[in-house]
Amino acid sequence: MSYFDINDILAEEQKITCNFFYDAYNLGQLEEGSRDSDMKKGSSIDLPYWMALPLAKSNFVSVIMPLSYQDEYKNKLNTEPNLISMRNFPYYDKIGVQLSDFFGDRKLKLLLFKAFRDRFLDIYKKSVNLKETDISKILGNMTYQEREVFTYGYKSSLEYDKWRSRKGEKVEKNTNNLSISSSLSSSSSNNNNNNNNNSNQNSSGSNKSSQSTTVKKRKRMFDDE
Amino acid sequence: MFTKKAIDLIIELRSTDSIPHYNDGSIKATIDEIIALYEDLIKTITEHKEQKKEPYYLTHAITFHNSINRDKRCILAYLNERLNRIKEFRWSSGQSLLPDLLKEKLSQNEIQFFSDYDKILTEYNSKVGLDLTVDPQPPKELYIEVRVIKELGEVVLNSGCTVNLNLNTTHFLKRSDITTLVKNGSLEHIL
Amino acid sequence: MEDIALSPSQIEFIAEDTTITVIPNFKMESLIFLSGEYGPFVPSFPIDIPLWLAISLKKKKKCTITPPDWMTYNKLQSRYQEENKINDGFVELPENFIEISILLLTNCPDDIKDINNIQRLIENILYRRESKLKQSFSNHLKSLADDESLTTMEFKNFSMMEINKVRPPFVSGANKLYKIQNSDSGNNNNSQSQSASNTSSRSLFSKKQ
Repeated sequence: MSYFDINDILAEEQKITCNFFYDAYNLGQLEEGSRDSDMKKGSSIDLPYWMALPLAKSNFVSVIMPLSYQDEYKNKLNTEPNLISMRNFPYYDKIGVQLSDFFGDRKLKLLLFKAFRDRFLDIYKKSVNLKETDISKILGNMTYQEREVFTYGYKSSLEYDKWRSRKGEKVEKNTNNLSISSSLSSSSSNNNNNNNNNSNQNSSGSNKSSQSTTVKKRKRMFDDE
Repeated sequence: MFTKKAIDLIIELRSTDSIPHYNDGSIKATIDEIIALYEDLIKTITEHKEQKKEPYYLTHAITFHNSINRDKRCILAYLNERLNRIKEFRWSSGQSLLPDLLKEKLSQNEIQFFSDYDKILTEYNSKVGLDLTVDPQPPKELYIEVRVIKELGEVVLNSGCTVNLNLNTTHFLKRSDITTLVKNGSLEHIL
Repeated sequence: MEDIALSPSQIEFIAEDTTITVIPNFKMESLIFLSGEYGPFVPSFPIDIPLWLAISLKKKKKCTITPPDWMTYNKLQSRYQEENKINDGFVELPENFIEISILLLTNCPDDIKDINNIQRLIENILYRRESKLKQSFSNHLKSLADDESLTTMEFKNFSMMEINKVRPPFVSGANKLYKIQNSDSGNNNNSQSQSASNTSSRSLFSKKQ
């Protein structure tokens, strides 16, 4: 898990049911709607993985494997890996690996490995075959890790097609940050003048409309030489 | 529950590929939470010096300590990811100035970061004698034909020549001179 | 994306350095570039020059291009038949055959004999190779033992364009599989310094390509 990765951070929000072995000072606030200031011994409460982990390591709580990693779901994943939708578990594989270490469950890791491998092939095929269709629905059924693989395949096959159709030469409007470019189009023309500063040459800013239709043709590279 | 606001920050970033409004409120709230957690933690440890190794207090310390770290990590990840996206914008747009609508979304420090980053890049580009943001892909033609889709008036180009970029006129110009204008949507490349 | 693969236009750029024979219809002294000296150009005398220069001359109607040896109907037909015959691996074609053939087909259609058939054959070969790739990828995955990771796959005679097209999803998937198998996580959550340098370098490297 990488410190700055936003998906890693969110994956670690996975709730785990913890059972307190001892009374705990001033931790009543962890439990929603609890009026006690202390957490009572024997209380059972859902805590995020990142908080459950150090508590369990110090043997202050016992932990239960989340429902989605118990047999029923695992069996489905084992028998029909390609039919399962990960819509409700976008970090199933990512946090699942952590959980398998956490609970010492080697089998879970193996299952996740196999499931990812089987789904990988399917995802790759989809990513290169689907073009111009709405991919948001397909992406929705994948975990974030799978989405990354899909996007790589999808983008590279789109790029290839674009090249084949000889559209790659076109200089295009920057669509990298969608909201930014759309914001540009609505901004004032004053703004456009500013943009030109970038080339260290100030535009005169005066909008002379004379000679407006002059089409300046310049010589091609080769004739110049 | 602790770290709620901090996680909201991260979710905000995940929901979009662009740069969302700088969430000053949640950042401040998270920092306040860190301070509160810290003070509570220190107070408990000092008040119960003798018993601080008992599970009753140690559980408290572990939970609070980890929550503080978690809050910190979320804020740092939030800021770091935003900086990456700001750098990305500088590269993909080739612009030295922030468009107003993007500027509104950034914090003072981020605006400062952008202009510092721009300074480094521009200086490098001018020393190398090549604007690295212009042609990430090998260009095919030295000159391209463009149509003006936003009135710009008389413009002096990099290479020194002056053109009248009036609405709906077409021009045959040096590619490297005008790529930035095409990227920001003032001109359109005609194939 | 740029991190792990060259884009099609970058590969095309590389392919444009291939030398090709042209027959000029003009007279000119040698052209001297950093990459070498080309010329002198004498009408009707065949000369070998880089593809980019050939196409540039062709666009100005200054020469006719002689398509390379392998790009003739007979040669391509036999390659195609061979491609169909073998199920394991691919037949040998020039490293940049996709880029070169497409550049020539678009830029000098009048210099290519039997152009329709050649175009069709190239399409067929590409299609056949792609479906073979999918098949062998699928076979490879299925042949792995339950706990065996995807480490290397061998594609003999796979061209640069084809490799770069499949590299991003393959590498990304294989990396993730590796991580699942070799995580010994949970214990060290705060590998802060290491990952910090990773993230900051990421966006820089992706631009330099």
